[in-house]
Formats: sequence, structure tokens, C-alpha cells
Amino acid sequence: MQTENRQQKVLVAMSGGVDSSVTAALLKNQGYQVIGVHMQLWNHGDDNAERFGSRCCSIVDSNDARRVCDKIDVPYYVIDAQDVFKDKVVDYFVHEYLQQRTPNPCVECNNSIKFSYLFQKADELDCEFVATGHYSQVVQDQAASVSRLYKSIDPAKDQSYFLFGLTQKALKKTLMPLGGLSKTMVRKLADSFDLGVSQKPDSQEICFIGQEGYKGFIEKRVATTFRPKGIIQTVEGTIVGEHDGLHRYTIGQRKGLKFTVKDTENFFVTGYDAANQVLIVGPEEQLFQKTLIASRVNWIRPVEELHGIRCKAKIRSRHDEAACRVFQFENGTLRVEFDEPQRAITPGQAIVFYENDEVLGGAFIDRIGTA
Amino acid sequence: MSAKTYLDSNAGAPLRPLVVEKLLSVFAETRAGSVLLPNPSSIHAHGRQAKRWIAEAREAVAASLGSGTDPEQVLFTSSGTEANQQAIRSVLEPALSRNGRATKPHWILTPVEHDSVLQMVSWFQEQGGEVSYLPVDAQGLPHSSELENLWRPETVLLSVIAVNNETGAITDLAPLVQTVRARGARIHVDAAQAWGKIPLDLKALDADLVTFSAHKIGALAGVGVVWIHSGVRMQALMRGKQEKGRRGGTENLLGIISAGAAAALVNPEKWSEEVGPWRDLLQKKVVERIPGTFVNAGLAPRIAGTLNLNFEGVEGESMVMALDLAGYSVSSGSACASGVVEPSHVLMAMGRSKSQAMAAIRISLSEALSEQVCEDFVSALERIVSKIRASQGIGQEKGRIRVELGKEPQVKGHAN
Repeated sequence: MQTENRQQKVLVAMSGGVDSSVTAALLKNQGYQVIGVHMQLWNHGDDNAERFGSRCCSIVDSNDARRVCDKIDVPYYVIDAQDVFKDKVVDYFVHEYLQQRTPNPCVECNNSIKFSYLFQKADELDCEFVATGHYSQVVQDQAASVSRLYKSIDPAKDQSYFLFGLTQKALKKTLMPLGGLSKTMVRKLADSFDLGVSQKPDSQEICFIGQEGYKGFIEKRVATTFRPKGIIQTVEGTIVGEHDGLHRYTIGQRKGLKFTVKDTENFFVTGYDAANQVLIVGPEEQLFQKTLIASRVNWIRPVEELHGIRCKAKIRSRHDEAACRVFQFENGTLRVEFDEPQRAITPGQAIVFYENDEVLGGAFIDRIGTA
Repeated sequence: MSAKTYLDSNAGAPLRPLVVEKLLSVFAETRAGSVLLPNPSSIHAHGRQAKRWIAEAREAVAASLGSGTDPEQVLFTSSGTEANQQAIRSVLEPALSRNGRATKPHWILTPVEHDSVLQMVSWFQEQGGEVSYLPVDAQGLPHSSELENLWRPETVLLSVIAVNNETGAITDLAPLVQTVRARGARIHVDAAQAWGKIPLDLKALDADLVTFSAHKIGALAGVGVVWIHSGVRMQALMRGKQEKGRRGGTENLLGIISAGAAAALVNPEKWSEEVGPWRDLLQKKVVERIPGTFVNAGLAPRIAGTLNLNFEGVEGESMVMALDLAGYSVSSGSACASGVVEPSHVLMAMGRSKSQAMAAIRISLSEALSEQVCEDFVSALERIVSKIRASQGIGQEKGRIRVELGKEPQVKGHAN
């Protein structure tokens, strides 16, 4: 296999972190012709200079990636993806919150940036493959002539949830060499390759949100007219408090709610009445629901049965997958019925379907319930 | 990996062999067995020797700038950037304090200046000055007739690039100098790319401040030059006794010696005869073989070594990367600190879109090529352009795109 791959050109998406650095070094060792590419996605401005190093988007990260490429002796380029990132990821992120949806920008970034914009660049540079440092496994199933996507062998690091939007076209050209490794092993490899990044912390938060937090980020960009204050009600219509703009609350949230009446300490956000800018709260049991409607579905590979697919689903990245049945309507909308009620089904989040360790596909949650 | 071909001499020309020889001879002279670089400010024999080398370099530089140029008018700095910024501040700073708050001093410059000049715009505006841009035509050249519209009683300085570093276009300086002179203001000429490439006669030109950069003529990087018209007072950016108090800091001895050695070798006519035919051949082959080629500033008078190209339907930063992967070092726009390619402000001022301005490539030669290199390069370019076009959805099905040299491409409808 390795000899077969000799001198095939692969563009490695390099953030400057441990994972993508090890990805590049592994592929270089396997005989690929590696080209390191760092995407400049966002300019953090002067406010976050201390955290991000400087005015430009992560010069420190770009320099780390450059050092790794020098170390393994491969060419390195930085490409400007700021316009497309702002358009496809940041603006989407803000708009979703203004529509009382809780977005997942990493999913959108994978769909629109890493596995589309970057693929375009790879094609222009005549690369056969694009590699990323995701903890997920791509398998080319020759027998069935499909590409399949599987979870990482390291359940703590598995990133397959964020990758459900990958198409067959993209998967055929994708390498994710870390899918079969644990994070511990990857750090060890970084050390043994002497890449100088083995101790860099994992990135945790949304990359373009600085110290102001997501609420501050949205409020800096959107006039108060579009995010008015309003009242908090129970589902029965009892007014129990006031809110500071619906974008500040997500379903299942308890912290930060300002109640004006008693016996509300166990209330959670359960929904919104967007037309009246009302926040709906209630006791925890109201958070548990069995059905949801989702759209913008992507099936990674053809699914066996389009009516009533039995599988498991995750409704957010840190959710224990639950058994369900998926019905697909002709317009592409999905109705998902869980065997057991699930806590805090949240519009805007992705629902991702699994069959054992294989990712079947996913969609974006639109509504709780069957309507 | 095959050998790399360097086609980026406007960024930094190769060291000339005679310059290297000169530097090695300095080592031999200073002290046998080990390398000694004396401080030119020292009064002892070693110091005097170093001072003499600098004086010789100054004379050689002055001689290369035209007949009857006084070496005392030559100021050495650390770079072309420093030379430009010191020249600009020397005129603008006194104007700011002279005018006080009553009127705002006014600076005119073109939008196609080098970044080291453009960087001073925000500084000047922060200090209370006002800035106007002298428009350029589609070839990137400014015209003195346009100065009339912009001129104010408060105008104190015009900054203009003599030869554009990206396109090689040559500005007609004389009418600009005359207009500015007639109005009693000062003119600063950034001639970094003109040195050694077009004949210079600074005395006849009669500009106030003219700046140069030594590594563009095959000397070491780290030396800039300001030629100062008599009567123009310089402001020191760094205070110190060196350079007659106009530029503090121990002199870059090796750099300055190399600048003198390279200056002694400049011969614009000979260089143009040697390099020009190769640039013309490259251009001819590219235009003939790659449909939809657009030669930026192709209708302007250009220095011999520079060729700036756009290809219809090719956008973004991939060109320079793909050429690098194929073994050719050319440049495009400029890069910011993180390494991201920024669209060329020069081409945008000439009417290119942002993504076209990112896709342009600049080929710049300092010496003759071979037939083989020329042919191989054009073949690689041909292959890369069709690959990127196919990838960006501009296929061959459109047929040959005919473009006249220097005219806008006739085929419309590419992305953006």
C-alpha cells in the first residue's frame, strides 16, 4: 500500500497544532509528497492580541505550522480564507442565534471551508488527496465502491460528529491518518518526530470567539433592535421574568435566567416564542422529547432503507447516542423518533446518525416534535 | 527534486560575483587569519581604513547616480524602507510643526507606491496631515496634468515611484518634478527599482529626495540610500553622530562596501541589452501559447527584466504556489506576517479585481536566461494555467481566448 502511494501529492491542512502536525509527518514518512497549507480564517483584532499573538489571525499558529514543515522538509503556504470563512461560518453563526437556533460553527467550517474551499485549492495545486488531523477514519470500501466514515478508535477524541457533511466526492480524496490513533499516541509521535508542538494545548472553544464570549461577539455585530429584551414565560403563559435578548439563551440552559417570581429555581429554557420574542421556561421534564424534524440532510453513503431507518443518533457533539428510527420525506426533510425521550433537543444543532461505528450521515435540527 | 529556478530578482537580485570578491578582499586586508570589521568611527588605523571604505562606497554610489553627483549628498540607511520613511518624514514633520493647528499640511502620492511609502500615510494622518492620491492610468502611470486638480496651497510633498517594483512600468518623472518645483513644494522619488536598470542623472532630474535599495543591484541586503538635493534638511530617525548626524548607529560596513562595489558595476544600457530580449521572448512565448494572457502594464515603457502576468479565469493565490511546486520562484502581490498572500494594491489601482490581483505573477530577471529555461518555464506555466482553469471551471470548451497585448481580455463571465 505504501509503495503504491509513493509520491502521490497530498495537501495537509495545518492549523499549527499537534494533530495536523503529526498528520503531515506521518504522511511524509509514508512516502507521500506533502504540501502543508495553513488557512488564515479570521483576524482577531487588537483586543485579543495576548491570546492570539498578534493582529493577524494566529501568526503564532502559522509560524508553528511553518516550523513543522521546515522540520519535515515540505513546502508550506498560507492561504487567505477570511472572506469565505466570514461569509459561510461567522455570518451563519450570528444569523442562527438571531433565529433562536444554536449553531455548530465547526460543522459548517468542515462543510464549507475544509472540505470544499480547501479541496478547490488542492485541485488547483494538482493534489490527489487532502489530509486533516481529524480523529475519524475514512475507509475506501472497494467491494461496495463507496467511501465510508467511521468514528475514531479513541472515543474521547472522536470527531466524526463534525464530519457528517462529507460527500463521496470529498471522502474519496480524504486522508485522516489519526483516526486509528489515540491522542496520547499522537502526542508521543509529535515528540518522537521532534515537531516542537507536542505540548500545545488542545483547542477547546470556537476559534473566532475571543474573550468577549459568544454573546459579546454577537452583540458587537448586531444592533439591539434585532435582539430585543423580552419576557420569560412558562408554557402555560405565566410571566416569570425578563430576558436580555433571545440569543443569550439556549435550550436546556439554567444559568443566567432572571426570575421575578418564586418556585422557579428548577426551571430550564425549554423553547422560544419568536414572534413575540418570549423565552419559554419550565421544569426539567419538559426538556425530554422523543421526536424531532431535521433538514439539510447528507447521507455519506447510500442508506439501505429510506423509510424507517433503524440507527443511533447524536443530537449534539457531547451526547450519548440513542436508538431511533428515521423517516425521510420526499422533500428531504427527516422525522426522527427516538425510542426513549432525549434531553434538550436543540434547533440549529446537527443530528448525526450512526450504525455501530460508521457515520451514516446527518442533518440540522429544525423543530422539536412531529409537526 | 529538480533544481529550482529563481525568477524573482526584483525582490532580491543575486549577489554579483565581483561584489563577493570585493567583500573577500576586505577580509584579507583587515587582518590575516581572522576576520576583523573595524568601527569606522574609531580614530586608529583600522578605523580610518573602515572610514575610507565607506567613503569609497559613497563615491561609487554617487557616481552611479549621474554625472557631477556629490558623494556628500549620499546618505546610507539600513534599508530602502528606512530611506523612504526618512525622506518622507524629513519633509512632512517640519511641515506639521510649522503649520501648527491652523492648516493641515498636504501630501500627494500615487496609489502604486511601495508599501514602505504607503505605510507613512496612516502616520501622517494621525499627526494631523492630509493625503491625496495622484491617480494612475490602466498602465499604472501617473500624469502631471492630474496634479492640478489635487494641488492645495498646503501641499508640501509629492512622492512618486520611478519604476514600479511589480510591473516594471517607468514613470515619466521630468514633468512631475517641473510641476512640483514650479509650485515650490518638494518631490520624493522612490527609485529602488530604477537603479542599474534605467540611466539616472539625478542632477538633471532635480528632485529633492531620491531613494534606493542596495540588494536590488546585487549587493547585500541591509543598505538603503537617500540622495539629498542640496539645501534639503534631513531629520534623523535615529540620533547619533554617524552619517553627519543624519543617521545614528554603527555603519553596516560590509553592506555599504558591497553597495559601493555593486554601484560601480551598474550599466543600465548593457543590462537592458542583455536581459531585455529574454523578457521579450518569455512574453512572446507566453502570449502565443497561453490564450487569455494579460500583460500588466504591457503598454507602458518598462524596465527590461520585469514581466507581470494575469491569466483570464485564473483567480486567487494558487499560481505562485503551483509554480513554486514546479520549481520556479516568482512572486505575487505581497505577503503579510503570517505568510498569507495579499492582493497587489498596484494591480488593484490599475483596475484589477481583488482575486485577479492575487493571481498575478511577477517574473523578474537580473541576467540572461537560457533557451531551455525559457522553454521549460513556459511549458510549466502552460500546464499550471490550464490545470487551474479546469479546476476553476474555465475549460477549453470556450475555445481560444484572444487577447491583444495590454488590452482588457474580451471574454467575460468568470467567477466574481
